[in-house]
Amino acid sequence: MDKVLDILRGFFQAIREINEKYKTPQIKMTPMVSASLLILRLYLLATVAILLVKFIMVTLGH
Amino acid sequence: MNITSKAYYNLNRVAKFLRIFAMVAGPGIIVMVADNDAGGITTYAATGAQTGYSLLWFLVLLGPIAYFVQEMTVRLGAVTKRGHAEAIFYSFGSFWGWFSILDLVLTDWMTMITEFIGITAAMSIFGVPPVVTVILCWLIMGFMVLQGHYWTWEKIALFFCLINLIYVPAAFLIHPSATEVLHGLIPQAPPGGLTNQFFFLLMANIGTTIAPWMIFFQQSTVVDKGMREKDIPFGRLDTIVGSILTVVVAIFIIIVTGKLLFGTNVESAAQAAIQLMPMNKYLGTFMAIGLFDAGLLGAVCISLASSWAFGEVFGWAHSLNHNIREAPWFYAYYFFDLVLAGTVTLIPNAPLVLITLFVQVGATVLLPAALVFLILLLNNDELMGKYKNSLFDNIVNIGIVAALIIISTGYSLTVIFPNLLK
Repeated sequence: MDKVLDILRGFFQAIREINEKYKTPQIKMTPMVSASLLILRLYLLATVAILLVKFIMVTLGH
Repeated sequence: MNITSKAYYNLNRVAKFLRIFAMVAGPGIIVMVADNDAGGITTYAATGAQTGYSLLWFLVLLGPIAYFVQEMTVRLGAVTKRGHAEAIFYSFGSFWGWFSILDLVLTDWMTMITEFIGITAAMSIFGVPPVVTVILCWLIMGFMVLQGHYWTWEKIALFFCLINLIYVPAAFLIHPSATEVLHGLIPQAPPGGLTNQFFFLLMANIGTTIAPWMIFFQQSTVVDKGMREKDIPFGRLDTIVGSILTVVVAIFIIIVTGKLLFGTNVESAAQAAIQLMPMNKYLGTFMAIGLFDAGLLGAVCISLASSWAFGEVFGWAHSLNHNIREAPWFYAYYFFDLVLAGTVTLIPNAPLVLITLFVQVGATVLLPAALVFLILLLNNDELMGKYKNSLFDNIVNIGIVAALIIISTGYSLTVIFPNLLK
Protein backbone atom coordinates (compact mmCIF):
# COMPACT_ATOMS: atom_id res chain seq x y z
CA MET A 1 0.00 0.00 0.00
CA ASP A 2 2.82 2.40 0.93
CA LYS A 3 4.52 1.61 -2.35
CA VAL A 4 1.35 2.48 -4.30
CA LEU A 5 1.00 5.73 -2.37
CA ASP A 6 4.65 6.54 -3.10
CA ILE A 7 4.10 5.95 -6.80
CA LEU A 8 0.99 8.18 -6.74
CA ARG A 9 2.84 10.90 -4.83
CA GLY A 10 5.69 10.69 -7.34
CA PHE A 11 3.20 10.92 -10.21
CA PHE A 12 1.51 14.04 -8.84
CA GLN A 13 4.89 15.56 -8.06
CA ALA A 14 5.91 14.95 -11.67
CA ILE A 15 2.74 16.69 -12.88
CA ARG A 16 3.47 19.68 -10.64
CA GLU A 17 7.02 19.85 -12.04
CA ILE A 18 5.73 19.68 -15.62
CA ASN A 19 3.26 22.48 -14.91
CA GLU A 20 6.07 24.56 -13.44
CA LYS A 21 8.44 23.79 -16.32
CA TYR A 22 5.90 24.73 -18.99
CA LYS A 23 4.21 27.54 -17.04
CA THR A 24 5.02 30.23 -19.60
CA PRO A 25 4.33 29.60 -23.29
CA GLN A 26 7.55 30.13 -25.22
CA ILE A 27 5.93 31.07 -28.50
CA LYS A 28 5.88 34.78 -29.35
CA MET A 29 2.25 35.93 -28.93
CA THR A 30 1.80 37.67 -32.28
CA PRO A 31 -1.73 38.77 -33.26
CA MET A 32 -1.96 35.65 -35.49
CA VAL A 33 -1.08 33.31 -32.61
CA SER A 34 -3.47 35.03 -30.18
CA ALA A 35 -6.31 35.02 -32.72
CA SER A 36 -5.72 31.35 -33.58
CA LEU A 37 -5.77 30.32 -29.92
CA LEU A 38 -8.93 32.35 -29.31
CA ILE A 39 -10.69 30.71 -32.29
CA LEU A 40 -9.52 27.31 -31.04
CA ARG A 41 -11.00 27.98 -27.60
CA LEU A 42 -14.31 29.05 -29.17
CA TYR A 43 -14.32 25.95 -31.38
CA LEU A 44 -13.75 23.70 -28.38
CA LEU A 45 -16.48 25.44 -26.40
CA ALA A 46 -18.88 24.93 -29.31
CA THR A 47 -17.87 21.25 -29.52
CA VAL A 48 -18.52 20.79 -25.81
CA ALA A 49 -21.91 22.52 -26.20
CA ILE A 50 -22.85 20.19 -29.07
CA LEU A 51 -21.83 17.15 -27.04
CA LEU A 52 -23.91 18.43 -24.12
CA VAL A 53 -26.92 18.76 -26.41
CA LYS A 54 -26.37 15.19 -27.60
CA PHE A 55 -26.01 13.98 -24.02
CA ILE A 56 -29.25 15.70 -22.99
CA MET A 57 -31.05 14.28 -26.05
CA VAL A 58 -29.85 10.75 -25.25
CA THR A 59 -30.80 11.19 -21.59
CA LEU A 60 -34.29 12.39 -22.54
CA GLY A 61 -34.65 9.46 -24.93
CA HIS A 62 -34.76 11.44 -28.21
CA MET B 1 34.39 13.73 -69.77
CA ASN B 2 33.27 10.97 -72.17
CA ILE B 3 29.82 9.37 -72.20
CA THR B 4 30.90 6.27 -70.22
CA SER B 5 32.43 8.34 -67.43
CA LYS B 6 29.38 10.58 -67.33
CA ALA B 7 27.04 7.59 -67.14
CA TYR B 8 29.20 6.00 -64.41
CA TYR B 9 29.21 9.27 -62.46
CA ASN B 10 25.43 9.65 -62.73
CA LEU B 11 24.86 6.01 -61.81
CA ASN B 12 27.01 6.48 -58.71
CA ARG B 13 25.06 9.58 -57.75
CA VAL B 14 21.75 7.74 -58.12
CA ALA B 15 23.10 4.75 -56.15
CA LYS B 16 24.30 7.07 -53.37
CA PHE B 17 20.94 8.86 -53.30
CA LEU B 18 19.08 5.56 -53.07
CA ARG B 19 21.42 4.32 -50.30
CA ILE B 20 20.78 7.43 -48.21
CA PHE B 21 17.05 7.27 -48.95
CA ALA B 22 16.95 3.62 -47.84
CA MET B 23 18.52 4.71 -44.53
CA VAL B 24 16.28 7.72 -43.96
CA ALA B 25 13.01 6.26 -45.31
CA GLY B 26 10.62 4.74 -42.82
CA PRO B 27 8.57 7.18 -40.74
CA GLY B 28 6.65 8.57 -43.73
CA ILE B 29 5.91 5.20 -45.31
CA ILE B 30 4.93 3.62 -41.99
CA VAL B 31 2.62 6.43 -40.87
CA MET B 32 0.87 6.62 -44.24
CA VAL B 33 0.37 2.87 -44.62
CA ALA B 34 -0.70 2.57 -40.97
CA ASP B 35 -3.27 5.26 -41.74
CA ASN B 36 -5.03 2.58 -43.83
CA ASP B 37 -5.99 0.91 -40.56
CA ALA B 38 -8.96 -1.34 -39.83
CA GLY B 39 -11.34 1.66 -39.86
CA GLY B 40 -9.83 2.97 -43.08
CA ILE B 41 -10.13 -0.41 -44.84
CA THR B 42 -13.81 -0.53 -43.83
CA THR B 43 -14.38 2.98 -45.22
CA TYR B 44 -12.76 2.07 -48.57
CA ALA B 45 -14.66 -1.23 -48.79
CA ALA B 46 -17.95 0.58 -48.13
CA THR B 47 -17.03 3.32 -50.64
CA GLY B 48 -16.50 0.73 -53.40
CA ALA B 49 -19.68 -1.15 -52.53
CA GLN B 50 -21.79 2.00 -52.60
CA THR B 51 -20.27 4.05 -55.42
CA GLY B 52 -18.42 1.52 -57.60
CA TYR B 53 -15.42 3.15 -59.26
CA SER B 54 -16.93 6.63 -59.38
CA LEU B 55 -14.95 7.94 -56.37
CA LEU B 56 -11.51 6.67 -57.41
CA TRP B 57 -10.52 10.18 -58.55
CA PHE B 58 -11.33 11.55 -55.11
CA LEU B 59 -8.99 9.08 -53.41
CA VAL B 60 -6.15 10.34 -55.62
CA LEU B 61 -6.74 13.87 -54.29
CA LEU B 62 -6.35 12.68 -50.71
CA GLY B 63 -2.70 11.70 -51.27
CA PRO B 64 -1.37 15.28 -51.60
CA ILE B 65 -3.52 16.41 -48.65
CA ALA B 66 -1.98 13.76 -46.40
CA TYR B 67 1.49 14.61 -47.74
CA PHE B 68 1.29 18.36 -47.09
CA VAL B 69 0.14 17.89 -43.48
CA GLN B 70 2.63 15.16 -42.63
CA GLU B 71 5.53 16.94 -44.33
CA MET B 72 5.22 19.68 -41.72
CA THR B 73 5.84 17.14 -38.95
CA VAL B 74 9.05 16.03 -40.69
CA ARG B 75 10.41 19.59 -40.71
CA LEU B 76 9.25 20.31 -37.18
CA GLY B 77 10.76 17.12 -35.77
CA ALA B 78 14.05 17.40 -37.67
CA VAL B 79 14.58 21.06 -36.72
CA THR B 80 13.33 21.18 -33.11
CA LYS B 81 14.28 17.59 -32.13
CA ARG B 82 11.06 17.56 -30.12
CA GLY B 83 7.98 15.37 -30.49
CA HIS B 84 4.64 17.08 -31.10
CA ALA B 85 3.43 16.72 -27.49
CA GLU B 86 6.61 18.27 -26.09
CA ALA B 87 6.53 21.01 -28.76
CA ILE B 88 2.98 21.96 -27.72
CA PHE B 89 3.89 22.03 -24.01
CA TYR B 90 7.01 24.07 -24.71
CA SER B 91 5.44 26.58 -27.06
CA PHE B 92 1.86 26.92 -25.82
CA GLY B 93 2.15 26.11 -22.12
CA SER B 94 0.76 23.40 -19.89
CA PHE B 95 -2.98 24.07 -20.49
CA TRP B 96 -2.83 23.29 -24.21
CA GLY B 97 -0.24 20.61 -23.51
CA TRP B 98 -2.44 18.64 -21.09
CA PHE B 99 -5.48 19.16 -23.27
CA SER B 100 -3.64 17.69 -26.28
CA ILE B 101 -2.03 14.78 -24.49
CA LEU B 102 -5.14 13.67 -22.58
CA ASP B 103 -7.30 13.85 -25.69
CA LEU B 104 -4.62 12.01 -27.67
CA VAL B 105 -4.36 9.25 -25.09
CA LEU B 106 -8.13 8.71 -24.89
CA THR B 107 -8.68 8.86 -28.65
CA ASP B 108 -5.70 6.59 -29.31
CA TRP B 109 -6.90 4.02 -26.83
CA MET B 110 -10.40 3.97 -28.32
CA THR B 111 -8.98 3.76 -31.85
CA MET B 112 -6.84 0.83 -30.77
CA ILE B 113 -9.96 -0.99 -29.64
CA THR B 114 -11.34 -0.59 -33.16
CA GLU B 115 -8.04 -1.97 -34.51
CA PHE B 116 -8.34 -5.04 -32.30
CA ILE B 117 -11.95 -5.46 -33.40
CA GLY B 118 -10.72 -5.54 -37.02
CA ILE B 119 -7.89 -7.93 -36.18
CA THR B 120 -10.07 -10.43 -34.31
CA ALA B 121 -12.81 -10.24 -36.97
CA ALA B 122 -10.23 -10.95 -39.69
CA MET B 123 -8.79 -13.97 -37.87
CA SER B 124 -12.27 -15.27 -37.02
CA ILE B 125 -12.71 -15.80 -40.77
CA PHE B 126 -9.93 -18.41 -40.50
CA GLY B 127 -11.56 -19.94 -37.42
CA VAL B 128 -9.07 -18.45 -34.92
CA PRO B 129 -10.81 -17.59 -31.61
CA PRO B 130 -10.53 -13.89 -30.61
CA VAL B 131 -8.65 -14.66 -27.39
CA VAL B 132 -5.93 -16.54 -29.31
CA THR B 133 -5.71 -13.70 -31.85
CA VAL B 134 -5.36 -11.04 -29.17
CA ILE B 135 -2.62 -12.96 -27.33
CA LEU B 136 -0.82 -13.61 -30.63
CA CYS B 137 -0.97 -9.89 -31.43
CA TRP B 138 0.42 -8.92 -28.04
CA LEU B 139 3.35 -11.28 -28.66
CA ILE B 140 4.01 -9.89 -32.14
CA MET B 141 3.71 -6.31 -30.89
CA GLY B 142 6.05 -7.08 -27.99
CA PHE B 143 8.57 -8.74 -30.28
CA MET B 144 8.53 -5.69 -32.57
CA VAL B 145 9.63 -3.22 -29.90
CA LEU B 146 11.62 -5.25 -27.38
CA GLN B 147 14.71 -5.58 -29.59
CA GLY B 148 16.00 -2.28 -28.20
CA HIS B 149 16.81 -0.99 -31.69
CA TYR B 150 14.73 1.58 -33.55
CA TRP B 151 16.19 0.24 -36.78
CA THR B 152 14.86 -3.31 -36.14
CA TRP B 153 11.40 -2.03 -35.23
CA GLU B 154 11.31 0.07 -38.38
CA LYS B 155 12.27 -2.82 -40.64
CA ILE B 156 9.60 -5.08 -39.10
CA ALA B 157 7.03 -2.29 -39.47
CA LEU B 158 8.06 -1.82 -43.12
CA PHE B 159 7.57 -5.56 -43.64
CA PHE B 160 3.98 -5.17 -42.37
CA CYS B 161 3.60 -2.19 -44.73
CA LEU B 162 4.60 -4.52 -47.58
CA ILE B 163 1.90 -7.02 -46.54
CA ASN B 164 -0.62 -4.16 -46.68
CA LEU B 165 -0.03 -4.14 -50.44
CA ILE B 166 -1.79 -7.53 -50.62
CA TYR B 167 -4.84 -5.62 -51.89
CA VAL B 168 -2.98 -5.01 -55.17
CA PRO B 169 -2.71 -8.69 -56.23
CA ALA B 170 -6.19 -9.22 -54.76
CA ALA B 171 -7.57 -6.72 -57.26
CA PHE B 172 -5.76 -8.41 -60.15
CA LEU B 173 -7.44 -11.71 -59.23
CA ILE B 174 -10.78 -10.29 -60.37
CA HIS B 175 -9.42 -8.97 -63.70
CA PRO B 176 -10.86 -5.46 -63.43
CA SER B 177 -11.57 -3.57 -66.62
CA ALA B 178 -8.76 -1.08 -67.19
CA THR B 179 -11.15 1.21 -69.06
CA GLU B 180 -13.59 1.33 -66.15
CA VAL B 181 -10.78 1.98 -63.65
CA LEU B 182 -9.33 4.77 -65.80
CA HIS B 183 -12.81 6.23 -66.22
CA GLY B 184 -13.15 6.21 -62.42
CA LEU B 185 -10.04 8.36 -62.18
CA ILE B 186 -11.84 11.19 -64.01
CA PRO B 187 -13.80 13.47 -61.64
CA GLN B 188 -17.50 12.62 -61.87
CA ALA B 189 -20.69 12.42 -59.82
CA PRO B 190 -21.68 8.98 -58.50
CA PRO B 191 -24.35 6.90 -60.29
CA GLY B 192 -27.05 7.83 -57.74
CA GLY B 193 -26.31 11.57 -57.91
CA LEU B 194 -25.16 13.90 -55.13
CA THR B 195 -27.06 12.27 -52.28
CA ASN B 196 -26.51 12.74 -48.54
CA GLN B 197 -25.06 9.25 -48.41
CA PHE B 198 -22.51 10.30 -51.02
CA PHE B 199 -21.45 13.34 -49.00
CA PHE B 200 -21.19 11.16 -45.91
CA LEU B 201 -18.84 8.84 -47.80
CA LEU B 202 -16.74 11.77 -49.00
CA MET B 203 -16.40 13.05 -45.45
CA ALA B 204 -15.62 9.58 -44.11
CA ASN B 205 -12.82 9.18 -46.65
CA ILE B 206 -11.36 12.57 -45.75
CA GLY B 207 -11.80 11.74 -42.07
CA THR B 208 -9.63 8.64 -42.45
CA THR B 209 -6.92 10.55 -44.32
CA ILE B 210 -5.54 12.54 -41.40
CA ALA B 211 -5.90 11.42 -37.80
CA PRO B 212 -4.40 13.25 -34.80
CA TRP B 213 -2.19 10.28 -33.85
CA MET B 214 -0.43 10.51 -37.24
CA ILE B 215 0.90 14.00 -36.48
CA PHE B 216 2.24 12.96 -33.07
CA PHE B 217 3.56 9.64 -34.41
CA GLN B 218 5.55 10.90 -37.38
CA GLN B 219 7.13 13.78 -35.49
CA SER B 220 8.20 11.47 -32.65
CA THR B 221 9.53 8.91 -35.14
CA VAL B 222 11.58 11.56 -36.93
CA VAL B 223 13.09 12.58 -33.57
CA ASP B 224 13.67 8.99 -32.40
CA LYS B 225 15.34 8.14 -35.69
CA GLY B 226 17.67 11.09 -35.20
CA MET B 227 16.83 12.83 -38.47
CA ARG B 228 18.53 16.18 -38.94
CA GLU B 229 17.85 19.24 -41.06
CA LYS B 230 19.89 17.84 -43.95
CA ASP B 231 17.66 14.76 -43.99
CA ILE B 232 14.49 16.80 -44.62
CA PRO B 233 14.52 16.30 -48.44
CA PHE B 234 14.72 12.53 -47.90
CA GLY B 235 12.02 12.73 -45.22
CA ARG B 236 9.84 14.53 -47.75
CA LEU B 237 10.44 11.84 -50.35
CA ASP B 238 9.69 9.18 -47.73
CA THR B 239 6.36 10.90 -47.02
CA ILE B 240 5.57 11.22 -50.73
CA VAL B 241 6.20 7.48 -51.24
CA GLY B 242 4.01 6.75 -48.21
CA SER B 243 1.17 8.93 -49.47
CA ILE B 244 1.32 7.21 -52.87
CA LEU B 245 1.17 3.79 -51.19
CA THR B 246 -1.79 4.78 -49.04
CA VAL B 247 -3.72 5.96 -52.11
CA VAL B 248 -2.75 2.84 -54.10
CA VAL B 249 -4.02 0.53 -51.35
CA ALA B 250 -7.27 2.50 -51.03
CA ILE B 251 -7.86 2.44 -54.79
CA PHE B 252 -7.25 -1.32 -55.09
CA ILE B 253 -9.67 -2.05 -52.23
CA ILE B 254 -12.31 0.02 -54.00
CA ILE B 255 -11.56 -1.77 -57.27
CA VAL B 256 -12.36 -5.11 -55.55
CA THR B 257 -15.50 -4.11 -53.67
CA GLY B 258 -16.64 -1.77 -56.45
CA LYS B 259 -16.75 -4.66 -58.90
CA LEU B 260 -17.90 -7.58 -56.76
CA LEU B 261 -19.92 -5.99 -53.95
CA PHE B 262 -21.41 -3.01 -55.80
CA GLY B 263 -24.92 -2.29 -54.57
CA THR B 264 -24.55 -4.28 -51.35
CA ASN B 265 -24.38 -2.84 -47.87
CA VAL B 266 -20.86 -3.26 -46.45
CA GLU B 267 -20.68 -2.45 -42.74
CA SER B 268 -17.17 -3.71 -42.03
CA ALA B 269 -14.09 -4.88 -43.89
CA ALA B 270 -14.43 -8.31 -42.25
CA GLN B 271 -17.97 -8.58 -43.57
CA ALA B 272 -16.67 -7.70 -47.06
CA ALA B 273 -14.03 -10.45 -46.79
CA ILE B 274 -16.71 -12.96 -45.76
CA GLN B 275 -18.92 -11.91 -48.69
CA LEU B 276 -15.99 -12.25 -51.09
CA MET B 277 -14.95 -15.72 -49.85
CA PRO B 278 -17.60 -17.71 -51.82
CA MET B 279 -16.84 -15.69 -54.98
CA ASN B 280 -13.09 -16.35 -54.85
CA LYS B 281 -11.54 -17.92 -51.78
CA TYR B 282 -8.10 -16.41 -52.48
CA LEU B 283 -9.65 -12.97 -52.75
CA GLY B 284 -11.53 -13.35 -49.45
CA THR B 285 -8.35 -14.66 -47.83
CA PHE B 286 -6.27 -11.75 -49.16
CA MET B 287 -8.85 -9.26 -47.89
CA ALA B 288 -8.84 -10.87 -44.42
CA ILE B 289 -5.01 -10.94 -44.27
CA GLY B 290 -4.93 -7.28 -45.32
CA LEU B 291 -7.40 -6.38 -42.58
CA PHE B 292 -5.39 -8.26 -39.94
CA ASP B 293 -2.21 -6.54 -41.07
CA ALA B 294 -3.85 -3.10 -41.18
CA GLY B 295 -5.22 -3.46 -37.65
CA LEU B 296 -1.90 -4.75 -36.31
CA LEU B 297 0.18 -2.00 -37.87
CA GLY B 298 -2.36 0.63 -36.79
CA ALA B 299 -2.40 -0.62 -33.19
CA VAL B 300 1.42 -0.65 -32.93
CA CYS B 301 1.81 2.86 -34.33
CA ILE B 302 -1.04 4.35 -32.32
CA SER B 303 0.20 2.85 -29.07
CA LEU B 304 3.70 4.12 -29.78
CA ALA B 305 2.35 7.62 -30.53
CA SER B 306 0.88 7.78 -27.01
CA SER B 307 3.97 6.26 -25.35
CA TRP B 308 6.25 8.74 -27.06
CA ALA B 309 3.99 11.64 -26.10
CA PHE B 310 3.98 10.61 -22.42
CA GLY B 311 7.72 9.94 -22.43
CA GLU B 312 8.48 13.36 -23.94
CA VAL B 313 6.36 15.24 -21.42
CA PHE B 314 7.21 13.25 -18.27
CA GLY B 315 10.88 13.14 -19.18
CA TRP B 316 11.02 9.33 -19.23
CA ALA B 317 13.52 7.62 -21.47
CA HIS B 318 11.38 7.24 -24.58
CA SER B 319 13.28 5.76 -27.47
CA LEU B 320 12.96 2.46 -29.29
CA ASN B 321 16.76 2.44 -29.11
CA HIS B 322 16.46 1.80 -25.38
CA ASN B 323 15.76 -1.64 -24.01
CA ILE B 324 13.07 -2.34 -21.44
CA ARG B 325 15.43 -1.76 -18.48
CA GLU B 326 16.54 1.61 -19.82
CA ALA B 327 13.02 2.85 -20.67
CA PRO B 328 10.67 0.90 -18.37
CA TRP B 329 7.85 3.47 -18.26
CA PHE B 330 7.85 3.96 -22.01
CA TYR B 331 7.38 0.24 -22.64
CA ALA B 332 5.05 -0.15 -19.65
CA TYR B 333 2.69 2.40 -21.16
CA TYR B 334 2.97 0.81 -24.61
CA PHE B 335 1.94 -2.60 -23.24
CA PHE B 336 -0.65 -1.15 -20.86
CA ASP B 337 -2.36 0.45 -23.87
CA LEU B 338 -2.23 -2.73 -25.94
CA VAL B 339 -3.38 -5.04 -23.16
CA LEU B 340 -6.24 -2.75 -22.15
CA ALA B 341 -7.47 -2.28 -25.74
CA GLY B 342 -7.16 -5.99 -26.55
CA THR B 343 -8.96 -7.00 -23.36
CA VAL B 344 -11.92 -4.68 -24.05
CA THR B 345 -12.33 -6.39 -27.43
CA LEU B 346 -12.77 -9.71 -25.64
CA ILE B 347 -15.58 -8.45 -23.39
CA PRO B 348 -18.86 -9.89 -24.66
CA ASN B 349 -21.33 -7.23 -25.81
CA ALA B 350 -18.82 -4.38 -25.38
CA PRO B 351 -20.38 -1.06 -26.52
CA LEU B 352 -18.55 -1.02 -29.83
CA VAL B 353 -20.87 1.52 -31.47
CA LEU B 354 -20.30 3.89 -28.58
CA ILE B 355 -16.55 3.36 -28.85
CA THR B 356 -16.57 4.16 -32.57
CA LEU B 357 -18.60 7.28 -31.81
CA PHE B 358 -16.15 8.31 -29.14
CA VAL B 359 -13.21 7.90 -31.52
CA GLN B 360 -14.86 10.33 -33.89
CA VAL B 361 -15.68 12.82 -31.16
CA GLY B 362 -12.18 12.64 -29.71
CA ALA B 363 -10.62 13.16 -33.12
CA THR B 364 -12.92 16.13 -33.79
CA VAL B 365 -11.79 17.80 -30.61
CA LEU B 366 -8.09 17.06 -31.07
CA LEU B 367 -7.52 17.32 -34.82
CA PRO B 368 -8.17 21.09 -35.19
CA ALA B 369 -5.95 21.82 -32.19
CA ALA B 370 -3.11 19.60 -33.46
CA LEU B 371 -3.33 21.12 -36.96
CA VAL B 372 -3.51 24.71 -35.73
CA PHE B 373 -0.51 24.17 -33.44
CA LEU B 374 1.35 22.63 -36.36
CA ILE B 375 0.75 25.69 -38.58
CA LEU B 376 1.66 28.13 -35.78
CA LEU B 377 4.85 26.26 -34.92
CA LEU B 378 5.86 26.05 -38.58
CA ASN B 379 5.49 29.84 -38.81
CA ASN B 380 7.66 30.53 -35.80
CA ASP B 381 10.90 32.24 -36.85
CA GLU B 382 12.83 31.51 -33.66
CA LEU B 383 11.92 27.83 -33.71
CA MET B 384 12.14 27.00 -37.41
CA GLY B 385 14.62 29.54 -38.83
CA LYS B 386 14.99 29.00 -42.57
CA TYR B 387 12.79 25.91 -42.41
CA LYS B 388 9.65 27.87 -41.52
CA ASN B 389 6.66 27.77 -43.86
CA SER B 390 7.06 29.75 -47.06
CA LEU B 391 4.15 31.80 -48.46
CA PHE B 392 3.31 28.90 -50.79
CA ASP B 393 3.45 26.41 -47.87
CA ASN B 394 1.12 28.64 -45.87
CA ILE B 395 -1.40 29.10 -48.67
CA VAL B 396 -1.54 25.34 -49.32
CA ASN B 397 -1.33 24.18 -45.72
CA ILE B 398 -3.74 26.70 -44.22
CA GLY B 399 -6.21 25.90 -47.02
CA ILE B 400 -5.89 22.17 -46.37
CA VAL B 401 -6.10 22.59 -42.60
CA ALA B 402 -9.19 24.81 -42.82
CA ALA B 403 -10.89 22.35 -45.20
CA LEU B 404 -9.92 19.38 -43.01
CA ILE B 405 -11.30 21.05 -39.89
CA ILE B 406 -14.59 21.96 -41.55
CA ILE B 407 -15.06 18.56 -43.21
CA SER B 408 -13.98 16.42 -40.26
CA THR B 409 -16.24 18.47 -37.97
CA GLY B 410 -19.09 17.98 -40.45
CA TYR B 411 -18.39 14.25 -40.56
CA SER B 412 -18.38 14.01 -36.79
CA LEU B 413 -21.64 15.94 -36.55
CA THR B 414 -23.25 13.46 -38.93
CA VAL B 415 -21.89 10.58 -36.85
CA ILE B 416 -23.13 12.12 -33.59
CA PHE B 417 -26.45 13.18 -35.11
CA PRO B 418 -27.17 10.47 -37.70
CA ASN B 419 -30.37 12.16 -38.89
CA LEU B 420 -28.59 15.40 -39.79
CA LEU B 421 -28.22 14.53 -43.47
CA LYS B 422 -31.59 12.81 -43.84
